[in-house]
Amino acid sequence: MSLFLLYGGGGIILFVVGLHRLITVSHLIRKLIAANIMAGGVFLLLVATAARDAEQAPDPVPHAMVLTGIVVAVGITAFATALIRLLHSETGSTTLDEADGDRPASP
Amino acid sequence: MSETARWRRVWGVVAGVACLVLGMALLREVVDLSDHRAGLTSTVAAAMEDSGVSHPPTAVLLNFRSYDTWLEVVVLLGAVLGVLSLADRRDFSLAAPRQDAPVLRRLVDLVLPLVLLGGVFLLAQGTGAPGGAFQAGAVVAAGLLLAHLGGSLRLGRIRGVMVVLVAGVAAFLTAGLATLTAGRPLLDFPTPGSHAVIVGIEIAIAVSTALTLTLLVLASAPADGPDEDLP
Repeated sequence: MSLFLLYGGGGIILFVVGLHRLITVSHLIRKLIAANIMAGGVFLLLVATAARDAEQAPDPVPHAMVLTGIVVAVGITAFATALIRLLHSETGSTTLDEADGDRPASP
Repeated sequence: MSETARWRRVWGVVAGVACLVLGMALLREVVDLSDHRAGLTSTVAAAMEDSGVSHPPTAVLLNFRSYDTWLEVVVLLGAVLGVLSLADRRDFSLAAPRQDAPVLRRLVDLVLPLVLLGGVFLLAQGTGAPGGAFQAGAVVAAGLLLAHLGGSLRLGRIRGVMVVLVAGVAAFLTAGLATLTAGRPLLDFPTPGSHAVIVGIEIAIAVSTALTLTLLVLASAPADGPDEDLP
């Protein structure tokens, strides 16, 4: 197995696992962490794409894309954290489900 | 088990199957992709002399694809504006620093100059080696947050916050308008001056990113100290 398959496949696995948790758990912080893990998987795949050819130097364009992506992910995570914090301080709940109210989210 | 829990269990299984199928399809594409050797390494290497810097990712970020970087800085600005608009305080002051951690404070006072120097160093070597504006901004922001945690950062109302926060976007705007009025395509820097323009934009981005990241963390802290209901 080449390095690209190892890291690219790992990136895909991270992405899919994060996606599953994003759409199934109801606790908002857990959703946010799952979204960050998805982003990490995408970055790993991009970096693996940059290093596909062992003879040449790494491809700088995916590197620049990952740098941009990391910065955007940080910004979005910070804004989402502020929103979740505001929701918690206004309503006391950490989910968006009306049926559960303040019940703890699914495991 | 209750109705809601049952539906949640069903949805979990359905989502699991769907994600598994998606994962298989993506993995197959990754296996296909490993046979392709084409990349943009040689294309970028051929254009490096016109870029004004010697490090390929920096050239890609700030010259060849500088429009993407411009919009990235705009996204950061949008995030900090969103966080500031949700903040408890309306005067941009930072939360009160801790007063009861003398060892931490002494340690931070020793380490902080090194951290700030490290940030400036990353910015300075960004044109020739891994480093650059965002990395420097992140390191300086980490230093400022350390100082806040240690209790030695005592900023009341910060004057000129907005000016510093928009500095990165404004630098790109200036460079873009300059290239447009010179008759060139947007952000197409002329080869002789591209190094100076890139360094100038990097400095602006580093300063604004440092303050942006600091405010992203600190502006959303509650006005009256840590939450009482945290365990």
